[in-house]
Amino acid sequence: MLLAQCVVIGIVNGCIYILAALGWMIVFNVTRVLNFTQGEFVMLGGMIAVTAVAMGISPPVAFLIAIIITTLMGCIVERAVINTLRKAPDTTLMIATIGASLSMRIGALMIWGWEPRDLAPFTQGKPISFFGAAIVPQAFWVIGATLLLVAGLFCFYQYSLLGKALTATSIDQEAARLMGINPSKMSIIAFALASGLGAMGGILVTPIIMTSFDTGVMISVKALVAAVIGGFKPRGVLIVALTIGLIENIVAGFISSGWRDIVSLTIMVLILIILIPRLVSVKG
Amino acid sequence: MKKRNTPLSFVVHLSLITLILAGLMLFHPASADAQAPYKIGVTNSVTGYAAGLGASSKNGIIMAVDEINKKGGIGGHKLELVMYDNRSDDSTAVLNARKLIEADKVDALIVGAYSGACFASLDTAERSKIPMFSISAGTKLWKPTRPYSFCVVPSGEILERVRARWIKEKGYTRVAELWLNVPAHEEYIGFFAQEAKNFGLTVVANEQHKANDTDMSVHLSKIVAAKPDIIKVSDYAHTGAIIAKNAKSLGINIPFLACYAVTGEVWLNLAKDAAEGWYGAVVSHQLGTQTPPWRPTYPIVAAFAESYHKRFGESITATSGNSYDSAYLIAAGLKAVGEEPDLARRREKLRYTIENLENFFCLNGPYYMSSNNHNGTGEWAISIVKIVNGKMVLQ
Repeated sequence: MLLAQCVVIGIVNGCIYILAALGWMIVFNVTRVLNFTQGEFVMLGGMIAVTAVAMGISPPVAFLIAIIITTLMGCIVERAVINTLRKAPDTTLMIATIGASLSMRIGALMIWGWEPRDLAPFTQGKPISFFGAAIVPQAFWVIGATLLLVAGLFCFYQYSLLGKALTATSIDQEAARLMGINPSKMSIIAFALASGLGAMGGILVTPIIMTSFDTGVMISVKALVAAVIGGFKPRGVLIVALTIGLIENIVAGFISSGWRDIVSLTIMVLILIILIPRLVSVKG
Repeated sequence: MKKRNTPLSFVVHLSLITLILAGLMLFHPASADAQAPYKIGVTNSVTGYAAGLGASSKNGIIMAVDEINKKGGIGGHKLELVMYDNRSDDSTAVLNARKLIEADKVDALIVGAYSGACFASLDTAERSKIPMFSISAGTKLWKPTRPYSFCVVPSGEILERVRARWIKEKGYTRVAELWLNVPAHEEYIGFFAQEAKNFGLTVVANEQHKANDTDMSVHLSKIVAAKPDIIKVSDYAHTGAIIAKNAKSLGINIPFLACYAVTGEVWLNLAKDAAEGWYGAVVSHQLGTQTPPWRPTYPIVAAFAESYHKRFGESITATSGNSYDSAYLIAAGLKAVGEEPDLARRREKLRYTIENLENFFCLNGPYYMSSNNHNGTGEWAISIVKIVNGKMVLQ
């Protein structure tokens, strides 16, 4: 029962990390900048959805509004920070995103206050028992939506012209420019995708973990670890994010919560050294 | 012969007048400073993981100071608050404390609203010889007694004695601990282990988690496997709500007994129906207008609850009440000090007068301060409630 519970919670947490980590990856690959506002997009998605639902808007419409507003925020951050400072060194850009992240967090604190907010689960119903583990209906939403989003993202990158243009920009910006691809346009599209994904992640997890002005911090740190250890490659990021979710919950279950981060990150580093080079090809 | 006004004589006259004025000021310093405000320095967790506690702590202090100032202040001196956010970060709390002591030159400090900030700031206050009130349930903040450290929060030692006695009276013997890993809660575990021996209880499981944990189902599954009669929760409102929801999802029918940092309006709003049937140890003033009228604290608690709700649009919490009391104790101490223009001497006298406050009545009931008790509260300051239809019902 305990192992099953650890695995179920681990998969749900892993899915949350996947959505945030893909955001880190998309922006980094196109702009070569670590965008520290990624966690805030997760927070904004959840917060705006909660506010819209509280205003009496039906949940699907409220979620759509939250995704649109957060995506617009992503575009604003790109124009205001990345585009304005495009000639600055990468470190400057990274620090600028940290500043933007802090501003967004403080803004959220001013608007919504410190109190955590809650969102009703998408579907009501009793938890389902699976090998002795209790799975809340919202967990299926998180897992299902993550699978759909990952599949959708794969198709977008693989089959659409825009997706191919983004891939080209991430491989070689100069060569892409010679082929008529506008890197500035690709940058704003990457931010829109990342912020939209973050918002969706925020909306999906709010019924489980609730949301507050600083929710983004804890999620984005783990997601960044997943993105970095995963080498900013889709397959690597997916594997690492899911593994972090699983390991940290198994450690919490069988050793102690106190050891969770130390053990899970040590194991991740070992995986990085031993397995990742075999799982992820050098060419990506 | 008529005396001529030379520039030299003008300068001499001007210097004499200046010297006379300076002399007058020197011999009447009190009159010059008569309206100078007394300053209370506050370093609080307005943001960060303990923001929930910090926000209500800040409100409690503001209310107390405004009430005192409306009544004319202390001997003509208004109270002035100098407040900084410690961002729930221990180092920032210490830096804030030093800034308040050295740059802002405050008379007393209030540090909150989580144990880490209070423990981190203790040495700074002791070295600077300034009275410091901690807004945390850490017993080690005032026991053993340090000259300048005070804490009016009914401590972990008192809380755990009340919880252990109640568990025994309900006929439970096997107790599971589930707690958020912060210094105050670590103390609770130690105190409860002692009380468990006294009351013949057995701790069958001990699970801790961290502030950024988002799901406690795994911890609860381990606890259920140990077959406890009751699960004792020492947490904060947000994580306490996650525990309540997880417990409901897992279909756990074992009773829960939360601490006062969990049981309150924020937790009830977040946990909703998952909180139904939970028991909670609350600081007695948290009952607000539901306080039984026969309790001596009823008039003051009910008035505070109503004014607080009117002003801040929310119910009182343990933290807001404890902070309110802390500000009132500082004010009572300053009143007893009387006129003392020298800041260092005023701080020293304030420490002494607070230490000697006896039967000072506030939200937590009577305070009995002494040279070996800088807390002053007792078991009367804690009550056990049950959540029924989303409300706290006194047991």
